[in-house]
Amino acid sequence: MWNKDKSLLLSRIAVGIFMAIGVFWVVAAPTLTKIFLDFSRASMAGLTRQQAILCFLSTQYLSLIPAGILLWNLHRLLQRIGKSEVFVRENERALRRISWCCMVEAVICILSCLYYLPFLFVSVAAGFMALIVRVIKNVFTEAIALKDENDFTI
Amino acid sequence: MPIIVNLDVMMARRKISAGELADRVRITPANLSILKNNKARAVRFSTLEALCRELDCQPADLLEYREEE
Repeated sequence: MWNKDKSLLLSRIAVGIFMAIGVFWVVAAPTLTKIFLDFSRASMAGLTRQQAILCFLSTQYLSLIPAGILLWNLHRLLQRIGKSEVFVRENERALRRISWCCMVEAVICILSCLYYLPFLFVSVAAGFMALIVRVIKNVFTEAIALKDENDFTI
Repeated sequence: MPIIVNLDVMMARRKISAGELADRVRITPANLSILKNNKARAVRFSTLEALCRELDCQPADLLEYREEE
């Protein structure tokens, strides 16, 4: 029978998988970039292969920093939800950090459009995700205020 | 908050302990402490009614408006 505990466990497993992918990416990024450039027929804004590798690696390693922070905050958020600490200030702060991480990813990707235009799609997706998380954060802020009000009504 | 809860004054006058009052009013000692220490945001009429009944007083004896400085 599907229940909220199993759903939470699934979310935590998903976060764990993404963390593992992140660690794998740190190690495998140079090889994966070379493989991608061998097979890709996309235009690289007149860059040489070495320059293209450098640009791609810069984008990927820069992106991994906010991605790591985002996943860590998501992991902590799920841990607190598991302890039934849902509408607390720490979760609101975590959501704000997650939103900003998405925004930083969007900026990195938009800058990367200078040498590889398809990064624009990733940038728009990350920006949109930042917006959604921000709205959820605003909902949490209101919910925390309501909970405080309720907790202090005797 | 400019609304002051004078619960401790009334409790001292009626010589009743916090634990006993909490028990009679049927609220937790922690909630009574919140009320006594002016940390409450709101008071339910049912709580106020029980407090007035057990302390034999009027709501005005428990609540006071004091202008903020």
